[in-house]
Amino acid sequence: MEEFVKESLTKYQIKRKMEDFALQKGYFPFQPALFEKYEQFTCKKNPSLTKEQLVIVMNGYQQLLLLRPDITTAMIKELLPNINANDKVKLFYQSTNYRSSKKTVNEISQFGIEILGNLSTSSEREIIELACNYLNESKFILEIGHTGFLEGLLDETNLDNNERVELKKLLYSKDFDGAMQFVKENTKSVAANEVFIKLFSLHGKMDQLINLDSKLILNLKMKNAVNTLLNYIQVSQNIYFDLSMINELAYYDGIIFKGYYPNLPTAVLSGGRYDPLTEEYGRKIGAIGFSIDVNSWIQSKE
Amino acid sequence: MEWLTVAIAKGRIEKEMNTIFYEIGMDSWIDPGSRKLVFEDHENQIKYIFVKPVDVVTYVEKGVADLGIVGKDVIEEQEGDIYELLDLQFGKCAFAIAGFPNSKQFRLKSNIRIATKYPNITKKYFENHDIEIIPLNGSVELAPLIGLSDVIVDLVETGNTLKANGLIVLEEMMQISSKIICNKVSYRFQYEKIMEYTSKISDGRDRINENFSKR
Repeated sequence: MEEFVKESLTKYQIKRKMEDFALQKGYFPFQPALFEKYEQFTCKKNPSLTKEQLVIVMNGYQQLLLLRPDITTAMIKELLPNINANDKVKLFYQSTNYRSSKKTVNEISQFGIEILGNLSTSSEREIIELACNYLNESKFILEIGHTGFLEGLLDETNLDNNERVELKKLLYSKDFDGAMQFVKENTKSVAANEVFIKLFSLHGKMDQLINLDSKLILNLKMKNAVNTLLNYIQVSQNIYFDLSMINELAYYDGIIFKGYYPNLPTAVLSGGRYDPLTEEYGRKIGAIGFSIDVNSWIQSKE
Repeated sequence: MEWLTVAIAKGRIEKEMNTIFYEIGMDSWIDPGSRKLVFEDHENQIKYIFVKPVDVVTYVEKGVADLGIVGKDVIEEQEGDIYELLDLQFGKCAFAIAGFPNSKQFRLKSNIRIATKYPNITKKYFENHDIEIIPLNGSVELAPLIGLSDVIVDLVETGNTLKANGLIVLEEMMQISSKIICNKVSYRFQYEKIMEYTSKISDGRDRINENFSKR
């Protein structure tokens, strides 16, 4: 029993520390609703979710309800009607997602930090700095990218939407041979193909980004993406850039990032700018944030 | 610099890799006939572990191996969260739907019964179709012969096994070869060493292919 008590206490303290830090930085605690109406939820808004993963329950009137599958969407749904044009809302949550997996339901613990509303460049910087502050306890890498670089590059090709998705899948798994074959067979732009050949080497410490060959920047979208990333050179030695970075979730638009610890097999922190998701729920407002996988987080501290 | 751990699929891939290791002179650790499962290359600080092909993806995904060498068939079936860094261009074969010559119209059936060792790949390929998957672990070609399934989904290299059992390829699904896969966190923390290693392997593979075509 002693072991159990000790472990439970350690876990609590780690979680408490995450929350205390957010409070101290001026973020308010948000508790998302546990149930959502089934009819109101569509998987379209969150392509990483499949119907099979949803946990569905029934109330006394035989209405179907959903056990919260995703915190960000629950948060936007609840807060969007209350946010005025000039508001800037800073919040954090310590909560659980429910995903069905074969015969069990997985409880996924997440801690998250978000800023919603009228955002400025300084809000983006604040979030990146905060992510570094959280990871700072041991050796880490925070890798940042920008959706604009790849989208801009794809604009230079003649690929249609389906082909873009297919190519992104190859790029997502860093499959150089597969991606190059696809590019050779399906695109004609010589300039774009030159960038694709070098794409996977366009990552590393931030100071390498300053010396990026200007021939690799083909349009304004790509240029803006690189310029945005250049803002983060001074923030931390542990920030790396990756211009071929793609997030699993298609709703990110702008800066994206992931945090890694060497003793964990997957990314522990993940986030970015996701204004387009808010549009799905009524109107477009600024939205940026990140979430931490709490179980991995605790594991990394052991 | 830190050690790199490489998980290699036992069997055919292991043999192909050995020829590459000899070609690039990174063969000091190889001990033919040994039944050991772990080898250490002290010169280059690389640890090799030999595991069943289906387990390579798991080892890499969970981070106990930084790199893995395994067939694309296993990668597709396991759907692991990993990077595919390099196509090794050997172990080439194809996934195909096979059956009796008279079942060319198998897609017209309302509920196709498919025997396979690869249920995930089959499910994905027939996404919008009514199918019943009959999972088997071997001798899949037997299934249509004894009426267990309408068709099979399997790897086809020469087609000799199919032919011997009176079956033909009805539809080719995708090309397969061996790949080097990588853990997503190792890719960040050990990037230089991983790139140096994969480019050596890639050079060795090219040299072997060149010599082969000269002969």
